[in-house]
Amino acid sequence: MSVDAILERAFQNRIFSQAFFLVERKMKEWLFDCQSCGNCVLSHTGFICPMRCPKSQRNGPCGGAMDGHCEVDISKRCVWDEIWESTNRLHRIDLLTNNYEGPPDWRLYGTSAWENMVAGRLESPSIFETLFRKDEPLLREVPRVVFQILRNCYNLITGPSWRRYEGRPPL
Amino acid sequence: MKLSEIFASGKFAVTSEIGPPKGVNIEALLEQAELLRGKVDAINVTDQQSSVMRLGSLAICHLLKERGLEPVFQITCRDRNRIALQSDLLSAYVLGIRNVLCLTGDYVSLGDHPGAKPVFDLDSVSLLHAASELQQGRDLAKQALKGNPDFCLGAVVTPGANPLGPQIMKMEKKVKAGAQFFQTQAVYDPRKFEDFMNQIKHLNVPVMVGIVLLKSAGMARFMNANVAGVHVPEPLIEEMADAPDRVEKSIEIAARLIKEMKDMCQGVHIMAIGWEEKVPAVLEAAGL
Repeated sequence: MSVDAILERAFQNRIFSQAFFLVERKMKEWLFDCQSCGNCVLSHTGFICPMRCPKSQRNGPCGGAMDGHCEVDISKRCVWDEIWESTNRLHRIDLLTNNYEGPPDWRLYGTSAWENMVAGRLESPSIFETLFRKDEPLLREVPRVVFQILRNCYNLITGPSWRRYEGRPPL
Repeated sequence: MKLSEIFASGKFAVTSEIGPPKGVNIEALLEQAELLRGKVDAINVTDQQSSVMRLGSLAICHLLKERGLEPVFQITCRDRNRIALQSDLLSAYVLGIRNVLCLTGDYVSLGDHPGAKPVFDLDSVSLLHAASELQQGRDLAKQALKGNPDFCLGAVVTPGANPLGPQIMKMEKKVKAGAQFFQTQAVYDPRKFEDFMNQIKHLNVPVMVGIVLLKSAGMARFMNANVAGVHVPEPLIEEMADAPDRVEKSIEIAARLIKEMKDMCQGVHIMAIGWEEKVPAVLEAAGL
């Protein structure tokens, strides 16, 4: 039985799904400043949430970034600059180039992206298919991905990143 | 006439740009457009540029079309969700508009209604995708259309962006989503532009280099400090500062840039920003 199939069965239990979403939401808020769009593309974007971009750009940067800083608030880093850097470190630029990210389904806003994924509500492929490179041994890939996630999280907490929960665009 | 037909014919395409006013007095705007008659292949009509509430692009495009001028309908994702965007594309088609430029749009807080709700339901790539789907006879919800529109879809790119990698990645996505031509942000450095064109050779898509008329040395410095992806080299700024006649110098610089970059790309897009009446002189000086 695949992980997806086990999860799909488990999500049918309301208590499990509620508890899972609570943990998912808190973890993702802390690690990625997740916006709970329910249409997660983190595994394509180097584990940087593109919905933090003021323009919610899911397919690449707008033309407004000044040397890696956001046109909306120049003190903040362009979210796509962070995505580009993180994806480069993971050697997964192919994930950005090859994936057209459709517009989010707003009915799923504020719901569990994992549940949506296993229930087949998302158009993007399963997170397990994109997370790790096929040509690399998992033993090397898993620590690399985990390290990058923690590094991004550190930048998010300490650096001039857009944290949507901290500040809306200035007046 | 679609811009794609001009590119197919091998002709060097020329477009310019007009911005609708805030209000309903459009005489001055239509006069600007008249000055461009016969001089350019199409005229872009901006969609509430800089997020400032203005008269709409669609209405002006229609008026241009009525007068026998070819418009390029600029459409941004800032103010409309996917339903309104698709609907406006269909409306544009029935009004005879064939050239559409799909953009993300400036952010709301940079304009004159900073408290308005930013929409950005689609981005420029998904907007191009939506337009391509409409051309295939279905909308984003995969519902069939009664009659398909047929556009020449354009997009924009910033050759001077730093870093350039993500810009090119997005440009590739735009081509895949159906972009048939590109207009660029203002370019003042032909050497850099050549580098950029070499990096996107594999895309095989017509690019129209963007030229913004320099009005003064101060404007050049302001753009260097505040406009993303625009860099005016110092010698050009000095040339502008030392010139006895700013207008003449501005036309000379623009014409020179066009001549230098003409062989690198398939067209030029001139943004005059208030100096629309100078565009014919620029074209004449550039030999176009």
